[in-house]
Amino acid sequence: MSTPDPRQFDREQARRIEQQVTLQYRFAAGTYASRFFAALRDEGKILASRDREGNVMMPPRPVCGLSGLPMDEWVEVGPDGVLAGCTVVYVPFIDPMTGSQRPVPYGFGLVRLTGADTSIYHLLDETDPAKIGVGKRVEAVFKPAAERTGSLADIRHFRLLD
Amino acid sequence: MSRVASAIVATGQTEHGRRLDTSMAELAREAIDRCLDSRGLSLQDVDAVVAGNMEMFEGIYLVDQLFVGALGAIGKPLYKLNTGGTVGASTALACYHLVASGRHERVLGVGFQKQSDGSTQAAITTVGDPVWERAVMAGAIGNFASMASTYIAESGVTPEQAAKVAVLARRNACRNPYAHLRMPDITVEQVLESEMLAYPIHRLDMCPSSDGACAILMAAEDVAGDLADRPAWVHSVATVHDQQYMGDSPKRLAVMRSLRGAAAKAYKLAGIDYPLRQLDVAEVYEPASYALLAMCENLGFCAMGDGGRLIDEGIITMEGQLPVNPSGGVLSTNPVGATAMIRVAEAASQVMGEAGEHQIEQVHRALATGYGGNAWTDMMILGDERPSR
Amino acid sequence: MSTTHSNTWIVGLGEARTAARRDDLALNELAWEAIAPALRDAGVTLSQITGAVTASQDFWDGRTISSMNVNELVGGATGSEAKVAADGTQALAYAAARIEDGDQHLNLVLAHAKESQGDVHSIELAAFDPFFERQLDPDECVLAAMQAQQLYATGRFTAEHAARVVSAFRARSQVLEPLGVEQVLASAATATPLRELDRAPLMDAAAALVVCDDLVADQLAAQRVRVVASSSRTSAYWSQRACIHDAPEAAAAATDALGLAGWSMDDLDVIELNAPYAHQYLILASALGLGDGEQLVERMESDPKLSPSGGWLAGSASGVAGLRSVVDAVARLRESGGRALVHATTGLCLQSHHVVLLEGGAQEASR
Repeated sequence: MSTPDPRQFDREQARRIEQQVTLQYRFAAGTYASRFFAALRDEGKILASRDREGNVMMPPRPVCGLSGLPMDEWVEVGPDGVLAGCTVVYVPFIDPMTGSQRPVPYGFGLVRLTGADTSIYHLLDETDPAKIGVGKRVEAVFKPAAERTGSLADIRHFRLLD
Repeated sequence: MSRVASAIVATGQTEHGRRLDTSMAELAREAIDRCLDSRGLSLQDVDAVVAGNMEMFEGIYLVDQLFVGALGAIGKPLYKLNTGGTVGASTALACYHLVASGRHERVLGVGFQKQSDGSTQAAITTVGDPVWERAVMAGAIGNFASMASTYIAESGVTPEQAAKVAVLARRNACRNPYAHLRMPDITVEQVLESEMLAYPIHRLDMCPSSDGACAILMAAEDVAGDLADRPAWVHSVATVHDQQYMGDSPKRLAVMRSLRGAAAKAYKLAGIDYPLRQLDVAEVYEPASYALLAMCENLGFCAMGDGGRLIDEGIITMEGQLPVNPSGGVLSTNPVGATAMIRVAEAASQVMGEAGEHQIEQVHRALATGYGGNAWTDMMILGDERPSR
Repeated sequence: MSTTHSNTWIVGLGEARTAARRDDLALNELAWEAIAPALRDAGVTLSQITGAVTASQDFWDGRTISSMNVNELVGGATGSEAKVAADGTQALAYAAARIEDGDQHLNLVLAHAKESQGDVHSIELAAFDPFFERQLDPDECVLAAMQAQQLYATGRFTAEHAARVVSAFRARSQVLEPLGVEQVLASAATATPLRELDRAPLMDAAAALVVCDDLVADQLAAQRVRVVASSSRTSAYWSQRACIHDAPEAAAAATDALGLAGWSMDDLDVIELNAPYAHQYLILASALGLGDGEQLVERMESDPKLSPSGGWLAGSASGVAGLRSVVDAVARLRESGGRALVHATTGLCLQSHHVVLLEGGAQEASR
């Protein structure tokens, strides 16, 4: 195979072959996430995992990445917290869970739930960049119990408290 | 230190951009041929090949196996690295370890990506954890914008300072014939007036999506001197990752644990105490304008929180005390699988004195970094002196 | 200038419970099920581990950068991880390189895959040439069938031979039910001449090793097995190979590794082969010079040195199979000492071959 010289390439001949690569997965949420989502759906509680040194990780997980210890305790965190990072997104984005475009603009941020040492990304109910900011307090807004399915989307978004 | 001293003895890059004239395999081969041709070598001079590519971007599973002919790896050991944005640097580091451990004498590394062939947004969505993160993902831009907000809160960096970084990168790229975005007339105002993608990131604050490939040849001490007049010796390498989820690192971009950890190790091994003085050029993997300043802080080029000064005072320009990304950086060129290898190849070219119009004078030591996934860092320090063992 | 250089030692072994579906565990939990016993076996804690090389495939995991699933289990916030997209034996070879050049001292090697969570046809389809092949909607089974067809046409082997390999290897499995030759031959036809039971079943699996350098090994009580040499060779993509029913690159990789070790095939006490399809073991074993035709099949049925674990056919997953065989071989060497060759493959139709040579047991314990 020789290297084609791009300068000699006839752009009129450039062909592009359209193809859809479709992949479908069925992800097992596992021990930790299953328990987390059941508590979220059934009790409206946000559970994190704790190791014996007191590290509290959200999302909950089998092992703490700081101590290397197994995380065998559950603790309730939130539903309030502070923003560890935040933005207002203006570019259209295909929501991977729905396949449709999420309306823009929307607020988006990293929420450090009270009692947790780590943060999770979620949607914010504020789209004015001047009103969001690192360190601002927020609170989870849950979907009504009947609408909850056991997914992170059972928290509709976080609303600003300040 | 290592079993065998190792050096990069040749590099090759494609013209990056939207390359409708080539297939992805041809693109990879273009970089390989340029790398080997620059020393009058052929694939027969290569003992093993290491390939880096992120497969979901073009939707080709086992792409290294499909492209084995183009990669020149038939009948040879073929390694395939796959570590996200940093994969090109991970690939370069694998080349190093395979030579430094005494396994092979001449290892070809190649990173390639053809983002115009696939859906970048769809691929980046799959970076998120399927159980925890995809439901609320906002793509690479939402993530970087959020990280930038953390950095701004810590450092007080301004949109103007970030815009200056974006301008510097695109102007530097004008001297690099391979760069994707070359914008000689770009101004700070243009950056600030470009479309707001996600607050505070404007379109011109972000890296592009490119098609491109990059190759390096890593050689053992016994052959390096025969292959290049001025080999770029590997003085140190480091790989450090972070925790599992995107919100795990307490201050994300502001305090980058993985970058700090990698720098601590790489500097120590290379005997660097004052990076600003002891490094002559740095190629830093900056996916967004804000990221460059944050990374420079974490690399110890200035005090923490002082990144804005690096750009205001011209410290990181081509003429400054420590030129950063004379190639134009990721902000100018970003074919994901190749991007971090381009950092390594550019640093090597600077040491070898072969960087052309963007050559910095008197480069004895150069730094290259890669960044990917959840703050995953690969780093390499190259120098013109063969390291003692 | 005369610095001594370290060897690479395997000091800990772990394997997750392999099953067709581990719906009870997320991918990282499955990986931890392999890592935790490996750490215990080595007598180390996760906080002592400074890095890892992991093996997994983005397409099987349904995730770009599939190893992000396991970052925390292999070194956490400051660990040094690299990830290969190949069989776990390549991860072991790379981990050994990082130890032998002095970069790392105590690491994990991990391979993980949950074949239950993806759709095998669409994943395998994505490995085919997008311009010339995908339009025909092929998968690996079709290629394997062409390969088997050509192999059987040589008159050296038959479908019954392959079925006997399945039956013999299944009998060695810890996780799969035994199968009679007749059951294999009577199973559903997939692509002529292959039948459903010619292929290793899809499984959820993970295997882990703790590896270290000389200094660390000296401090550990764990029984050690040395990684003596490794090699690999890649063939042309299937459609560009003159012949797809042989495996000269498997032989080349083995010859290279044996040469590095200064061993011959006769020195080996264990030879582990890995491939997803039964007839591919016949191709591999004959390529390695272990025999041919009926005589080879009899040997594979009866020789305790040959694939004592049953290889991939005895229950493993893509990318995990080779590392699982390393786990099994190391356990055997600890028991009775000796030398082992582990082979694994990556790619369609036996394209890439990885070989690892191991030595351990009595003579190492008395060092």
